[in-house]
Amino acid sequence: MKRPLFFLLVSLLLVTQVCADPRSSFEEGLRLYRANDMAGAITHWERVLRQGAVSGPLLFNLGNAYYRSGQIGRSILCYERARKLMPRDRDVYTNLDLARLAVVDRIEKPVRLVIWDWVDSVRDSLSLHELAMLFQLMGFLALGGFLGWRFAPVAWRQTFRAVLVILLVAYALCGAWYGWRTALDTQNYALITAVKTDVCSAPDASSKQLFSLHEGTKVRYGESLSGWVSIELADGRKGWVPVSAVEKI
Amino acid sequence: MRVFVPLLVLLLCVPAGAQEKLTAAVDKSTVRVGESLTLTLTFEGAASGVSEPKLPALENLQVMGGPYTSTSFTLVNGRASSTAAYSYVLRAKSPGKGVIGSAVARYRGRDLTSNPITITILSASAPAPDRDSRGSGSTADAFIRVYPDKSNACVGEQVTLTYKLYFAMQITSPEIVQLPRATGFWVEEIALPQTLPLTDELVNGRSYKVAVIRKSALFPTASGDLEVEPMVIQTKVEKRARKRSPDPFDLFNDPFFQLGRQFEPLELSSTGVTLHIRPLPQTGAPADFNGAVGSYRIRAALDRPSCKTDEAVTLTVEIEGTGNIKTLPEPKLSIPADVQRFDPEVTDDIRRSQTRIGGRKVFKYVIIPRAPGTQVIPPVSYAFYDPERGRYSTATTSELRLQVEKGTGPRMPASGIAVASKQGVENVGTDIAFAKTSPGRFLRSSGVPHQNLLFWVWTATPWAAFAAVGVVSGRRRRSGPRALRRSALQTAARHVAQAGKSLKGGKQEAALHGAAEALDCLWTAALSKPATGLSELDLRAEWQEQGLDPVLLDKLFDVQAECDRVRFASGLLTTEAMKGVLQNLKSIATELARSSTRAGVKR
Repeated sequence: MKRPLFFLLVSLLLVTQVCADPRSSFEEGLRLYRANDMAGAITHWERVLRQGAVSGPLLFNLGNAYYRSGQIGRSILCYERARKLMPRDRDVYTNLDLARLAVVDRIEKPVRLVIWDWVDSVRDSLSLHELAMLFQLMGFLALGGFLGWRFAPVAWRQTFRAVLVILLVAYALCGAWYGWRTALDTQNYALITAVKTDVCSAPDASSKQLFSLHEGTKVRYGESLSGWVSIELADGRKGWVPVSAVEKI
Repeated sequence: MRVFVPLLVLLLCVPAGAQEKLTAAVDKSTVRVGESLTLTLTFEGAASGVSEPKLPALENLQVMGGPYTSTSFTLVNGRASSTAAYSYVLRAKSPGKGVIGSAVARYRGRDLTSNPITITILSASAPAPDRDSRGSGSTADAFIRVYPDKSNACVGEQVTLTYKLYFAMQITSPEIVQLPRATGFWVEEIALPQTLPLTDELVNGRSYKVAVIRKSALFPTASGDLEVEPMVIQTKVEKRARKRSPDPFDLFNDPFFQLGRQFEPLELSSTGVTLHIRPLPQTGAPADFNGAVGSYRIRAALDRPSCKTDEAVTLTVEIEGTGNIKTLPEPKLSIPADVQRFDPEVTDDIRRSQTRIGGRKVFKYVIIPRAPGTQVIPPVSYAFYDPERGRYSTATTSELRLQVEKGTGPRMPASGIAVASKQGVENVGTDIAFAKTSPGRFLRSSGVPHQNLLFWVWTATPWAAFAAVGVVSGRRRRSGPRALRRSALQTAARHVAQAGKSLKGGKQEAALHGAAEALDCLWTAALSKPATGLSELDLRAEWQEQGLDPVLLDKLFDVQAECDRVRFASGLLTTEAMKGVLQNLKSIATELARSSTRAGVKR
């Protein structure tokens, strides 16, 4: 009777050992990273991700470790993910730019007005979580404005009404902003993680090869069919690659 | 001998014979590329009248010299015959076959044709199939031999080739026609004394004088089997006496008759040399190894121990030793950031007199300290591979210190404000930013915020509050004096409208009744309670209390008086009068509604 209990305890202990606190795994990975053991650092940090926890610095460090071990595609992937969580961290952009230098493929992007770059930079200046919080904050502020308009002394009513209108407009804008970002973030972007992959005209290895892509190139993916996924480049070219060659951002 | 030619022509009446012929001969039938051979065209026959033969067509051969002419006469049984020989020095151009075509000489209107000759030409490195007289064979009068001091070496190691000229007879000083081409080597000549010292050597039983005519140091720059091509020299050798013919009358060929020494040109070629060059060992190379091979010492010195800022100081780094000085790479200096360094002036000083090429290479750097203090130039180390010992070594200088005092140079203007020369912070290297040390806030890895219940709770809260406030205030609006007033006013308006309709239908009585009802409603609206049973004085007091316009009250009283008047004096109940009453009621209702909202706002 005692034996099963003992086993249960031991296995519980093991489980807690394996499912270590993400923070301690992070610290351990950082120690290995500093000791130049990139493989070890990657193992620890990937384990945190597998446990379902994620943070911007974690993804950033993982990107660094992949970069150091020469896996440019994966490092760009991590940096792209980290950028979503910490959009105003300049280190992420620095490293992302450096990692992109190592990407072989140069794809001509369609020319567009500079103003769209500004729009993009404003749009991406907040992470989704921050946007959600801003949206909710606006909701509460609008509520405050409404209560003020309804119950403040007569002399303040006009002011409160104007504030309420502004806050309601801001509330609606924040909602739209959040929706826009969500729509963009859930867009189907993927990175090529294979060193080199041939893009075929059909989901079939024997079909005609259209062009080749190299590690780290960003593509949009579409439907998938029996181990193949259709991709589209920024310049509009399309084709099929094996699923194993790409990873979704 | 040419002196005799006219004499003999005069003396002897040479009958024209039919034996004239032109023969071609070469001294060797097999040569290597680059080697030379002698083609001799011999005309035999009557003494004179033969033209110089035209040089035959040559294939794969090149004329290097000639023609060298020699003539001789023979007097046999009273018949004179002459021999004229024209020799050419030819050189083989490329491996394969060399063809000497027929030479043509004109003799008394006839063309004499020589026999064509075919020659085999071997590649430079092929072994000679037969050692002929001009090769390095033992029977030759003169030949060159090349001695490499080693046939195995590593990249950058010195290999010395010694070219020795062996000769058994008088020769003139040799002249190098073709230097040995050595692809893949850096060649340094080793200086030889002005006069070649001669030694005696016995080769295959024959005594030769030996002179070292060339010594070169080869530094291989690549690994593999590298070939040094043969060297060709030209000299003149004393013409050998013809073998004495048994004919006692062959007097003229006796050396006794020769009026001076005769030299004939001779080209000598050494054999090619193949050297086996191995690459430098991969293991044990220091991190800063830059390809230097040999054995070196390194010294560094400053021209003075102290200086002022912005003054130029010379830093001399001297590398001395044996090896290929010319190709020595520059040592790596780590100069402090506050010291500006300029490109060095490099001088080579090469010793060529000894067997091993050596010397020193001096790098003179001009450095200018820009900041005061003790500037420390760390030891300069220089890694090299020592082929003698077969391992890598590193030579190191000592650390140098330069005391820099604050200068009163042009940086300090008259105003006394120090102005430093601004320099941009240069990027020495680029690297990714370092990892983050803090993990930040951990989130659930999958999902966007709106997939979280909490998101919707927080989003819905203000809306719920809006709704609650709206419901509460709406309920408050449906009860109380304001609600009463509003509904009374609405009823009044309804009564007025009803009365207007009755009036149009010609029913004055009904219209009057409606007007009275409307009037009651207006009183109720104005006082927020029914006005029945109140005296005029009471009404005025109530009106005052409500804060309403007294003018409106008077209007209301007027309308009431008009209504009473019309009701009791039957003749007065006309449509016109009723229209006026209804008009007045409408305007009062509007006024009341306006003043009541004003009053409501005030409250």
